[in-house]
Amino acid sequence: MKYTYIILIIASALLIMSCEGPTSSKRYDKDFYYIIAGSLYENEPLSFHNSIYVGKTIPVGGDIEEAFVTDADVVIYDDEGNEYPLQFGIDFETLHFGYYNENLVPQATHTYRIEARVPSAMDSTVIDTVWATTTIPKGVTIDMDTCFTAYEDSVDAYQLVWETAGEEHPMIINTTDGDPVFLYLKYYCLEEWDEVRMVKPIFGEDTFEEEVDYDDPADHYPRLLSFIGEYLPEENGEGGYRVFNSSYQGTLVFFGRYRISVYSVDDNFYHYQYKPDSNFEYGGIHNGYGYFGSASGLTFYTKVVESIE
Amino acid sequence: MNGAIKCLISAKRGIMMQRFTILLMLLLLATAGLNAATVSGYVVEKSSGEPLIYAAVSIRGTNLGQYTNKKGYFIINSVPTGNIEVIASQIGYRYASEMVLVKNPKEEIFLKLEMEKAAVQIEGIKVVEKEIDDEINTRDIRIANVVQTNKDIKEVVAVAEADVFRSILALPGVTPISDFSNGLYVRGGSADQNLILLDGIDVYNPSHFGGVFSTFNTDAVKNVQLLKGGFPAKYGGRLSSVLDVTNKDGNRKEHCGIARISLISTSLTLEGPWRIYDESGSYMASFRRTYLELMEELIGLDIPKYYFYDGHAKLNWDHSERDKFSSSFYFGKDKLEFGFSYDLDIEWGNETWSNQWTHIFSPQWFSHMIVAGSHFYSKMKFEVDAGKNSQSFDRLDDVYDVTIREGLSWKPNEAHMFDMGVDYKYLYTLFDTGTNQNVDENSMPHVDVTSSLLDLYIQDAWKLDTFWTVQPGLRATWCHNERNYGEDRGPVDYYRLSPRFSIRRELDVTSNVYFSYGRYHQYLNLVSTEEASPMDLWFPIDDTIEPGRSDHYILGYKTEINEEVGLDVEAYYKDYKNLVAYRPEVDYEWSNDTGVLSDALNTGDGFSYGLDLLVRNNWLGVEGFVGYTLGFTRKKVKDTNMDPETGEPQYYYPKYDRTHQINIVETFSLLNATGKKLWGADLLFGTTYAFGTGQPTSKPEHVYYEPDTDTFQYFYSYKDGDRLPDYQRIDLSLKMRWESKSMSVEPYVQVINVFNRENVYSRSYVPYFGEQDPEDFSETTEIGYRTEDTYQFPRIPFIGINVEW
Repeated sequence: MKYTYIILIIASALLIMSCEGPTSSKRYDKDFYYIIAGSLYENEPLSFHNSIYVGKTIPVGGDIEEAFVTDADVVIYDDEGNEYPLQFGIDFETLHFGYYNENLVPQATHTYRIEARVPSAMDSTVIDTVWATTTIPKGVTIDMDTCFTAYEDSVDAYQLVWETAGEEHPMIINTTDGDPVFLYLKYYCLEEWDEVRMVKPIFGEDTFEEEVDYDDPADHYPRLLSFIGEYLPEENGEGGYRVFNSSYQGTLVFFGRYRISVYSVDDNFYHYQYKPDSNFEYGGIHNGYGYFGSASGLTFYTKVVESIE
Repeated sequence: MNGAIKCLISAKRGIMMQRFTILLMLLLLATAGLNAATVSGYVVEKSSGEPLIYAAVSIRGTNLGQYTNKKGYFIINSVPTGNIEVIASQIGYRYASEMVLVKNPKEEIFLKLEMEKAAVQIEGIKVVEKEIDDEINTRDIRIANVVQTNKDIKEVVAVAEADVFRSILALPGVTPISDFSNGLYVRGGSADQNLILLDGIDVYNPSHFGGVFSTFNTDAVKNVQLLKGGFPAKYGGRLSSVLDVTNKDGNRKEHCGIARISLISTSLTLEGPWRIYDESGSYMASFRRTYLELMEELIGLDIPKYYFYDGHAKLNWDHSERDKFSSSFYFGKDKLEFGFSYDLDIEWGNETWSNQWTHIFSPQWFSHMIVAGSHFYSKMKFEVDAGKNSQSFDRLDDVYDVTIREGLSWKPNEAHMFDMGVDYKYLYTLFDTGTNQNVDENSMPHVDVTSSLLDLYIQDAWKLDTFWTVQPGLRATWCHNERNYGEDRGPVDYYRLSPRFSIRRELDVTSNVYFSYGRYHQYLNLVSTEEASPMDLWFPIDDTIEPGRSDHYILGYKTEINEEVGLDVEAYYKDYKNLVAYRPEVDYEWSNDTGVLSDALNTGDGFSYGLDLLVRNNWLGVEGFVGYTLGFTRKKVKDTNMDPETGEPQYYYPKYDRTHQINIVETFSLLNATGKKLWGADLLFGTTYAFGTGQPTSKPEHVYYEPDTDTFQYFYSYKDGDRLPDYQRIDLSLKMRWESKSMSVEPYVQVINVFNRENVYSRSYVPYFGEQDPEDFSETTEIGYRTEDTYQFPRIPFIGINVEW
């Protein structure tokens, strides 16, 4: 009799086992969510190159063309009451698109508000408004070392010898005062995957067998390495303040040409970069997702070499 | 005003403690027994002198009996006068008996019963060798209790060598989160909710790198007791379970040892007796070290440098039958070095010491005192060496624990058996970070807190009549914390009562049903992702994080169907309050000046329920068990897993939720089955099968374009929006054991994951346009994703040899 119980229990268990483990219901169950993504750069006109992306999410498996909003009425207001309507532009060759207005030249410490008014997909007489504000951070500059150039086409002449790079050519980031600053640094290797070579081999290998290992489509890692953090500038003894970045190990990991961007960024962008729970409300966007950030800094170029060529 | 409130609070505390004291006195008075003869003593193994726990001791012809405690001690009250026969029994051992003459009703008789292992050398005789079994109608009520002996641990097939934790992870109700982690997730509890004790002292992070080796060297361990829930009042400070590990005392009769040598590690264990004049005792010492880093240098493999070592030592002094002392030590250290474009050094370890004194005041009063300490540390150093401009980042986590514990067992009569005691624990926790970069020092965490915990407990196993036993218990805790960093927020005190209650109805001599309720509190939390690792941080509580709380409800049925098959079934429900989870935003917001623990931790609630089923068998030479667990765990944590519409956190199944789990652990012995040997050796065939429902995970639901990186990014589902594929693994082992009186030799072959099943460890999602290149959507504009998986253990064959003498 007891054996019958055991057999029954085991049979019941096996029956229950055929059921899948439970999962939650769908989290984002709307057809789409609005996205604003882009930053204003101190003293740089809001050009097509720096344009603000206004779009929509699409469900996985959806048509990517649905992700773009081209008929939005997008306006940026500054804290002095000026109004800058943005226009939509697209470059089919590079597939670059966005909203811009070159008359807008953002200034440090000023606050800007973006409003995107989009005709509702359900009812075109209803307007959905997505908005955000950002305050342009105080700027940073770089001591342009003899190994750095502001122009990509001349980068071959600006060579940084890997072994001595940190010691002889540190990156000196100047800030306006000693206040903490959110620094965002991007190191992007301009070489193609089949030509690139690592400065330090990993497990004896210094090249890649597949392009995806060099340039992951999800985030371009490790071709693109980006770092963000809160830094406290130190006095440099000459009345100025600086952040001293003296090592390129872990940042410049390939031989070849590099594009390096150094920016001081605002709260919106800083928090958006750190996305603990699926981009949820970290970029300052109301009625939508993404980020409306601002930054102040520059981009420059260098070529990492084993020895001067 | 504040003064008045403080007076009121302290008055309430006073009343609470007064009530507790009165309750204690009433219980003691109510159970005062009549004077009667007693028989007490120890039960030990004959060959080694090791105390035997849970051996049944009874007086022939009466219903008087008792099980030995962890120290092998027993006491039987109300013994009649005249000639009596005292019998000790335990599965796997021959009966031990002794005739005693009880001259008067006040006599106190002390015995030492030696039990001999019922090992077989004669063909044709079948012998059950299991040392300890889950007894059915024990004197106290044992809820969710499993004891794994050294032999049980060694029977579970494990990578490289037998492993304490892998043997526990094979039990129903215990969830392994992956092949690479030794974290114990018991009935929906997280890894930090287990109280892990080694000779009575907490071990805070018992794992070596990668989950292949457990912290404890199996050769040094006598037994492991797992309490999956409803644990008695003498245990506290954790929400879910207790893993009580006891080191071997050491052989009191002869010197012996175990040596193991393999390509990656060596271990040596020695034990034996000692005698100086009239004093005697035993010793045990064990040391183990891996040398992968030496292999790396010899062969020239370009892999991270890694090694660990650990050691156990124990010295016993049997001063008299009434006084026994022991000192035990444990130390272990792991070191891992990565050298890519930067240097990353990681080091962690545990150190414990435990001094124990058992004293018998009178046969009815058994005292067990512990003065012990524990230290866990983890260090991480990230360094980019660029000459004088090097960059570095350091991280240090320290937990120091000093514990003084006095436990008393009192058996005034056959109806009552009390356990009571007091625990004092001093804790110091430190988390420190540093860098040579221009980072604001105030944002680099430096958190150090001292805590004192004082616990009083009492419990009675009260046998109401032949069938019914109740076991009420109470644990009272005072927790006092002081922070030693940032602004002065003053000390914080918490007072908590943790009642326990169990009731059991014996159905017949081999079966019973029982119910148990218990409340548990936790005053120290592990800041962790949902997969435990040695880099996780221990934090105490403060005025912003209250102690965690759980309530356990357990209903069980236990039976021996016959001598060969046993069945345990337990249904459980657990409710959690004040669970903590790491708050990732703190990485960007921490301030040493103003920071409180609620800045670093989110709190939440949860619950779990399910059913554990265990069929134990020892039939035709096949010994082992089949375990099945049906389990559901859900939790809800502030600012986590939020509904995008309401902004409210939602319940979710955490990573360690497994709806179904099956474990089959069986060993076939040719000798036990047929009484025959092959080439003079016993042939042992072992198999371990594990099945688990896929672990919860999130998956992409929406896609959007991000211009900053020119990539497509995802909106992910809730944390449990999907599940990874089910986990399945079969491990096999084949051993030949040649045994003689002086030594045994056991070569073996093992294969882990025989069918090389690809059990998914982690899954990531990559934007994907149909069948084309991920970035080329010239032909289709529909965007989806493809999955990229990493896997757990592949098929791993292993050979080795064990030699014991």
